Amino acid sequence: MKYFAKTFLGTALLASSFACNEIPTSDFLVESTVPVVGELGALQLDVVASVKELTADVGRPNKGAGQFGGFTATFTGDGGSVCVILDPEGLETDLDPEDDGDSDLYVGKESDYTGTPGVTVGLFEGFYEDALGVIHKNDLNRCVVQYTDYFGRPGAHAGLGKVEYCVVSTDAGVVYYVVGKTFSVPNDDANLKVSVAIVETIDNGGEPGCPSITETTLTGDSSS
Amino acid sequence: MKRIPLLIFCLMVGTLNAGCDDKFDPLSFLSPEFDEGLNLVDVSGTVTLPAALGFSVDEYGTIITAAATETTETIYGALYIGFFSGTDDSNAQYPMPLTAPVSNDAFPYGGTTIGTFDAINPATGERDTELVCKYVSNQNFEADTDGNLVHNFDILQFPFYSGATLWAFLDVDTDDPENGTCSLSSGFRDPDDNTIYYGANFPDVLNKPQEYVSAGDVVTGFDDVIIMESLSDPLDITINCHIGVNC
Repeated sequence: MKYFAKTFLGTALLASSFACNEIPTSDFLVESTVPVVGELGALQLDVVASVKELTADVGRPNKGAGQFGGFTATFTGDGGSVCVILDPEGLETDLDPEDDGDSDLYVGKESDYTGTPGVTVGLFEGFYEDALGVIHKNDLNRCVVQYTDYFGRPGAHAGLGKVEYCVVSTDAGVVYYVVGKTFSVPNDDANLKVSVAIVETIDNGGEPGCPSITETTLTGDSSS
Repeated sequence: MKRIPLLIFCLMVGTLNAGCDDKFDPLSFLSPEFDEGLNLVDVSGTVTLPAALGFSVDEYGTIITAAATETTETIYGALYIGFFSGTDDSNAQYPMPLTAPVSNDAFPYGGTTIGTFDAINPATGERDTELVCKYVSNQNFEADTDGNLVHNFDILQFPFYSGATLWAFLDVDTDDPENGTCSLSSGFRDPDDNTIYYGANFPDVLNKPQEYVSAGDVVTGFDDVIIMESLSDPLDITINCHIGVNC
């Protein structure tokens, strides 16, 4: 009898291990109806008063499986600075995970990007060999977002529905990618609208800065 | 009879060990010490503030002021020591750790801090909101026979590369929002008022020292940077370049 019980238990464990090879699906999460990764094409530089935005509609990535989601857009540097803006779906005054989402802004050179536009979302990184020949992974993201972190240092990403922006200095003729990395999607439809644009910088005490940016600067994310 | 399975188990483990290690020791799995072969070392040394700089310490061993700035409320804070790949000597006044492009990260191999920001009044042992980022605890400098202030340090569990450069600096005006090394908005939170923080080091002081070193700080001078060729090299570093004063 004991041997029967052990055999039964072993068979059950073996069967359960096969079952674990498949990614479980959820009964309560709404399925996205749009691709997880989007590609928007070229952004146009203008003053903020006549901003020309592009809007992505992206689905929920399977974070448990290590998948990243989001979109890419591009622009070509002119040797000056540009202000890059990203606004995910949701009003800052009415933040609700049911119908709001979160996307984080990154900007870098095309040559530093580890993702494939329209296929996978990656990072801006390279390898740095120091003076002693030691190799380090080097963060090549050039966008220091306006929010501050726990320590009060700039560069923290914002939360649900909040607009993010940063100033990026460019090299002339070099292609840059703007990446919106999906952090969360609205629960109600699992489709996240994210607007993105580049605008001309203003003089900010001798340094290039972004003009006044609010939740309503970009409207494609249905936030106004 | 009952011991036979245990014996078989021991032999199996011993055999597995033999597959991983040329020096077969069937009982090695019982040994409390196991060399994983990782390049991680511990080192010890001393850091010295020369008497000529006029530093002094209070009765608790914390650096409090300097003769050159006695009339000001200059705050001397934590002292930072790190191993780097090298220094950038293009600055005419003092050397700075080399940094990577874009990230501006110095990628220190290892480092340590002498002193902590916790706003504890040493006389009472209580936290004091007036001392947030203005007083450093856990410094224990002692004067040698020449009046130099000396402190021991340990740098633990870092990868050693021959030629690594030891560099140090003492932060001044630690609560300066521009380049002080103490964050006013972090650290221990008052249990009775969670809007009050008692300060803490920024986490990237050795990663981006160029953002923190400024006039009034004291750094290792060109002649005092230590290039460590082997683990037996002595690590007695002096920081004597008082930026804007004698440097």
